[in-house]
Amino acid sequence: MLLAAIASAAVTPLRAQQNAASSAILPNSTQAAAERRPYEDRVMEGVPPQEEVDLAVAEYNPQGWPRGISLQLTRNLQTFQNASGTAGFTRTDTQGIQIDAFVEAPNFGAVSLNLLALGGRNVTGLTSWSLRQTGLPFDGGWSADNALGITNLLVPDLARKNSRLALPATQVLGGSTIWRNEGSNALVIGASVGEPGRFEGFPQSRFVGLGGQVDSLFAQATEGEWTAAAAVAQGSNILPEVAPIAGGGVSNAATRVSPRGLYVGIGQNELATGASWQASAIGSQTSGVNATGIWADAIWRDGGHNHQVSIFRFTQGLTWIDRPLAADLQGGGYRYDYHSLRWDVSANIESFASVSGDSPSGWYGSTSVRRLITAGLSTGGGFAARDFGARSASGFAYLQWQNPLGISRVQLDAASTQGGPSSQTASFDHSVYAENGMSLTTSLGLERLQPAASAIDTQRRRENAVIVGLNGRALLDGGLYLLGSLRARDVRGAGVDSGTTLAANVGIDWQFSRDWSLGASLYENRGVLVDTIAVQSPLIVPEIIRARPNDRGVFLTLRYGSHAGSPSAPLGGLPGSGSGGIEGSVFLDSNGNGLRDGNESGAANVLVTLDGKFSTRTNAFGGFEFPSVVSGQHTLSVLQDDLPLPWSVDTDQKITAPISTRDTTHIDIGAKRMN
Amino acid sequence: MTILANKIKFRTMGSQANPVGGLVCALVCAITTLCAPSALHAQGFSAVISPPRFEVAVQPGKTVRQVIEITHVANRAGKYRVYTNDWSLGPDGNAVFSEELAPNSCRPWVALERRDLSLDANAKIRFRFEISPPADAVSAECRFAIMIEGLEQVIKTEGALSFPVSGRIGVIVYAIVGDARPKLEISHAGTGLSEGVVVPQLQVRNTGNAHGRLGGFVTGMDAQGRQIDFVPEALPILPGQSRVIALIPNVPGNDAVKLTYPLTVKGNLEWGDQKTGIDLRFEAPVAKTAPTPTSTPPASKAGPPLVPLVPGTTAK
Repeated sequence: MLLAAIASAAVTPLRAQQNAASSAILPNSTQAAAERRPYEDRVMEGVPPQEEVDLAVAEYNPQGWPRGISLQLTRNLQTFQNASGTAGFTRTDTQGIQIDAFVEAPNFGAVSLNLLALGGRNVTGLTSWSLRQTGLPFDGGWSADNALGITNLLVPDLARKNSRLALPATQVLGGSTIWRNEGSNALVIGASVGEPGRFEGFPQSRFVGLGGQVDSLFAQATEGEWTAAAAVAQGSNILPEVAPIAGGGVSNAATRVSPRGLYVGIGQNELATGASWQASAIGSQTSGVNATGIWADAIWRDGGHNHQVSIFRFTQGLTWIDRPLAADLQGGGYRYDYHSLRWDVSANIESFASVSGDSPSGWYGSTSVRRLITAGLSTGGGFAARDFGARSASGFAYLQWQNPLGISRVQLDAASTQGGPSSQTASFDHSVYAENGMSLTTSLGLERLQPAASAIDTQRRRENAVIVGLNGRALLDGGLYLLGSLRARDVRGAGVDSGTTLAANVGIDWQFSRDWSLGASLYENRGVLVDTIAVQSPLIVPEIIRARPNDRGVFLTLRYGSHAGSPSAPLGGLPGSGSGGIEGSVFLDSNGNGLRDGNESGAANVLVTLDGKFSTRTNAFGGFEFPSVVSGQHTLSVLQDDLPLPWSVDTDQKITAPISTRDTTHIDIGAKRMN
Repeated sequence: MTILANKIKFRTMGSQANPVGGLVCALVCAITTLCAPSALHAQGFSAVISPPRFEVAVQPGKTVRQVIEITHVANRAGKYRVYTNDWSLGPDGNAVFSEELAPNSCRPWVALERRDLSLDANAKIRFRFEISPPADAVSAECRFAIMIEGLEQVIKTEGALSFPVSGRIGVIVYAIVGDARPKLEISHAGTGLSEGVVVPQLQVRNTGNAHGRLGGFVTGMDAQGRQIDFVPEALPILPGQSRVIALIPNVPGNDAVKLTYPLTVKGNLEWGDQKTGIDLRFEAPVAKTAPTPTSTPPASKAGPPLVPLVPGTTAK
């Protein structure tokens, strides 16, 4: 069949299977046809000749295992003021080196190293690293992923299937190992240990350890449609995170604790209908506070209609080691989605009540609709509301259309909290049709804000702002990429933050040789950055978030990247499969005892076939070898005609060869004298 | 012991490009491998070309310049030859390319940045070409293809036979000169097979002087009262030609489509800034496929013959 494919490629006439008459993939024309070509294309005037590529220098080294290394040298110069703008400017000069390397070793999986070291003026020197080995094969369908350095507190996948109610995977500096035996009946076992921490810093984030230690152990088994999982975890002398603060950041409590947690879950996927359900339970103990949580959800679909129902109950003080979970809440919810060519519809309603009775009850609901009117015209809108301690609502509506200049969109947004802030925004966005390799988007917005009463603005004075934004990129000649963005917000009115806010950055990326590239970018933030939050969650109160950055910086990066080698696949397997070897001999078994005795000679030039597919010939001493064969049971056969008369091998006898990973199986095949 | 395993791949990625923008890639690979049990050595070339199609406008006496992004996806350097071809749609709806200069070809208006390229491993370049119709050019559509051909031929040996292996990509260019534009008319309607499903089909004639491509969507109601959206196949219809365009059902979810007839279809089909309304009833297909009448242009799919539309019941 392969031969036929090659021949077909060589002789197929100049015609492409090309329904849409776009690009066509064609067989090569013959040299003779090229010589007969009667028309020679014109060449554009004023175009300089292309620099010749030195084919010898650019040669790729395919020898050896697949391997690669990437090296980045960075220097970041930043100047910034504190958030209140009261202190003087701080200048930092950060130098860094980042190394990413990998090698794929047959039978040992892929090994990768990631190392980041930062230091400099007014910067705390830090090093983050991780060493990973993935896809380490073992016999019986097992494989392992191991990690040292920065890894995660492991939890089973079943505990993370529901995005709203998922166990967090805390980042740790330590080690982890996961063992998998995948198939219809799968088993996954994992364990991790390390010091918890989090990533901080910009533009290169580094791991900051918070002290203490956390450990986890989990197992998840799947049999047919059913999946069950369990996990235990504990912390020792750690700083727990407190609830997320507005704006998405986190902070940690001051008192160290030693929490414990237990998770169990079960689920069923109805493979035929696509329906599924799962139920989970969790228990935690932190500082003597015992808490429990249970949640369950079911998903089913009916054509394009998707339904999900959830119920949950979480008692006060529930955590998963260092992370707080939803606490003192019980209730349920229903979610509906429908997607078709013309319509995208979603709706969600959730109801909450306090388990202890100490907190308020409430509800949250949201809906959104998109309607495709014509191929180039669509409209939509959405509404969300919550009543949980405070009442809030937000909504939006838009119209989007294609026109000769590009794609335009008009959108109106509004959000309000009872007794709190409110905002209204009208925006016009346009994405310009640009030449291939270029893009340009523009934005113009009008914004009206009324903040909540505060100590510095008791009158809740309104702000009226004009917002202008630009974002573009361009691929220029010589491997040069240019990209940049600009966002300006000008406030006119009686608000407390009148003035102009600017956030801008521009950068280049230049690939100046095959292995080397240079990147440079400048950024500046000035004024008051304002972000309005619509109703997006039942637990987070919409508000107006203000940040007062006054910083600028230059980032320089010199990169080197190189790779070499070629993947190899063992006989009968795919690249990465566990494999072993077979070596042995075909010998003339004079005494018929089935063993190769010292005085028995080998049979030379005998064809030995593995699994009826792969063949080799014995050497002068009767020896043969298949150095890389996928693990498992295999069969060997010998071509009778190659044996000297009157010797033969019993063809009815199946010669089995069990292959173990990273092991060599020795098999001597004895030929017997025919009577 | 030596074990040979050879592979050749020719495949495309992406679909129709946005008329002007959009990043849709075409990928051609001619990969030849020679592997032994302990190592696999790959050699050959593959290139990613973006976009796979251009639809541009140019006025007589003016010049329009466009850029093709060519990425040489290989671990070693490669050489390419770049040249133009004329092309047309064959009776089976496939494009047929010709290196000979076709009558009325506009290729003499086309200039390429260069005819030969040498690219480093994994290098990407912007290859320019321009179209300059003369000032007295009449309004029409200039169609040609830019062929990008890998010159790194690999000689493969299989037994006693040797084969040269390489590949090339044709980037289709439609250039509207002056105020040329398509004019599409639906002349026949019927049913035919598309991926094993009997679907409504339209025969569309282009009486304009530029190619057209049906877009938009229409809504159908089948015999069971189900409302189903349909989108037309986005196939080009060249000036003066007729083509059978299937209406493909778009059903939410992953449910298999099974249409029950009679089926009524209403809505607007669009091309460029023009559109036409349809209000059609498709009857149950006959069990035995009748031969396609010679008076009807050949259909690309099996099915009963398309029937002429009764005036007043089709285009609104």
